[in-house]
Order: sequence, then C-alpha cells, then structure tokens
Amino acid sequence: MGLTRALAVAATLLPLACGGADGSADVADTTHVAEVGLPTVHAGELTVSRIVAPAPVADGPMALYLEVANGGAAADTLLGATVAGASASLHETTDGSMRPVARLPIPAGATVALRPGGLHGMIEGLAAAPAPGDTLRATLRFARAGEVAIAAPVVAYAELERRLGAGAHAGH
Amino acid sequence: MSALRRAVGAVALAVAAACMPASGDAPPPATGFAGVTLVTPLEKPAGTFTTMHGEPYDLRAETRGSVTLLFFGYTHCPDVCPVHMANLAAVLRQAEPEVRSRVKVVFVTTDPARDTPERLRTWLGAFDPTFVGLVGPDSLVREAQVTVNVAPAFKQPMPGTDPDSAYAVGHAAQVIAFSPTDDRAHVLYPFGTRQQDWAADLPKLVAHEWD
Repeated sequence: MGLTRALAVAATLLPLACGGADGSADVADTTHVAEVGLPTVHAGELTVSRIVAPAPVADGPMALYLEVANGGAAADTLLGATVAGASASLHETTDGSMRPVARLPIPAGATVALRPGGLHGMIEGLAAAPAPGDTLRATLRFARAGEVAIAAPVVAYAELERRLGAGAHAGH
Repeated sequence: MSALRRAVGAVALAVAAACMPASGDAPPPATGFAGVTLVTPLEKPAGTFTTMHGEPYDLRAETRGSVTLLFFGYTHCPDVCPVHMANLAAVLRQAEPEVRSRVKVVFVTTDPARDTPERLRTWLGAFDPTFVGLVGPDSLVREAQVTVNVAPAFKQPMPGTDPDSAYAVGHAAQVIAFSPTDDRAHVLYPFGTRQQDWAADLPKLVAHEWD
C-alpha cells in the first residue's frame, strides 16, 4: 500500500486548476485529533488525515496539506476544494516547478498525500490571513464521496515538519 | 514498507543526483554532512546585486568568510521557499552565537516583477530580518543560477488565472552552502532537509576545512 501511494502520487500529473468559493459545511462529527496532533475526518470509505495549513507569510498564498486514504474497493477522485471567500486549487511541485492538478485519483486501497514539496492545496484571496492557532475551514469535493468538510489547524511554517512527523516532506 | 523506502530512496537519489554536477565521478566521500556532498565544488556566483534595502551587494565580497546559504526563490511560493526559510530561521535562532555570526542566508528572487524590495523586506523579515534579500538584472540572476549548476527559474502561467499576477515560478529547490574558507560550495541541501539536519551541519559548515 505504501508503494501504491508513492506510485499514485508520482503518476498524478494533470492539467488545470480547480476551485471556487461556494461556502463550506460544518466539520463532520467524526473529526478527532490523531496521534500526530492533526485532525482526521472519516467520510464513507475515505479517511482524510494529517490536515494542516501553514500560516501565510506576508499575505502570500496559503498551502493546505492532508492525506486521503481510500479504504474502499472503488477508486475515488479528488475534484477540488473550496474555501469560503477565497479561491482554492490543487498543485504539484516537481523538481521546483509547480503544476496545477485538476483531478487527483485516489485509487482503491491507496493513500495519497498532499505534503510539502509534492502535492498541495493552494488558497489565495483570503480577506484576512490566518495566523498560527487559527483554523482554516475547507470543503473537499470527491467524485464518489461527495463533499467532505475539514478544519485545518493553522501552524507556522517552522512547525510543519514537527507536526507532520515522519514523512513530513514528499519524497523523503 | 521496505518497498516504499526503496522506491522513495531511489527517487531521493535521483533528485540528489539531479542536483549535482553531471559527471561520472565516484560517489562523494563520506564527510558526515547531512546535506548532499558534491564531488565537484561550485564557484560562488560573481556580480553586484541590489539588496532589499536598495544598496549594492557584491555577493563574493559581502559574503567572503561566512558560511553562505544561497537560495533562489520567490515570495509568492506556497511551499518550498517558506519551508526552507522558516527551518533555517528556527535553527539559527537556536544556534550558538559563534555559529550564528558566521552564517549568512542569501535569498535571490527569481520573480523581480512581484518581489519588490519592500515585499522582500516584509516576507524575509517575517522569518529573520538578517536574511539578505537580493534582486538583480535578469541576466545576472540567470548567470548566478548557471554558475551553481541549477536550472534557471522560469515563469509558469497557471491556467484560468491572470498571467500577469497569478503565475508560479519554477525554480531550484535546494539551498547551496558555500564554505567560509575556500568560498566554494561543497554541500547542497535539497528540499526536505529537516531542522535537525541544519542544526547538525551548520557548525560543521563553519569549521570544516575542505581539501
């Protein structure tokens, strides 16, 4: 499964940004804090974990990191994310260059990670920049699982590697 | 899990290899650095840039005798640039004064259209106000990247967004560490370098005598 994840991530090289801003639902009741101190949300066969967003610096863009594990027998696809009052898109950094990702396949049995140096959500246009300690609410849109509301703890960039623990960076 | 480790290890090696000068040389000697040790050291880029305070900055003259950590990036970068800068700032805050005083972090913008001196001051200052933000003519910045063997940065329009304001910039992801003694770079720090790696390596970068 770990290998599948690595390959799935490596195989995801898709065009076009997604996004929009049509409000976000309340966070699911199943939200809890995992052992790494970051929330986990269950939605059907999907588990979204290691949700975290570094506080933007000098009103730069905001990144969103998370992992999606598909425990079901059917593949799903992450179609995009929405954040109220902002635009959200999905990107992948490869060798220092960034490409938009329109659809992110989540194969059955696989875990796909958005983490520093690899895939990330990018949020732009927030009226007020969140600070460490704040919570960023977003809604993920999946082809099968539908909308999944998440609440990302906002942390300083310097805290990211500690909060994400082992595997804090893509490819390492 | 071991399969994943192997796969990831292979990718990491490929990335590390891509960072290194193309050559068929033997693997680099074990030096005890957490960073990637270069077989062929890199020369420090020459030329006079302009600091984020508007002053001329002769890179070689200003950084001679210091461990110089050179990075090419841009402030609208969501991921690689702020992680490197934040990790360096956090480690330098904890470093012994005799180490801290011997290290200069130099950030050369690859996005001069948006990275005004004022914006560089705000952005870099949020990490550490002693970090040196440099702008230069495109030709000088390009030449500097060629000197250290990284692919020159390029503008990447993002579909569906304003190409004049919402683009990304492709750029090298590694920090290049120049020695205070011979003014050349012997060690690279790819993206993914952790704070503990910096904390272990900075004193060695200050003290190590290269052959």
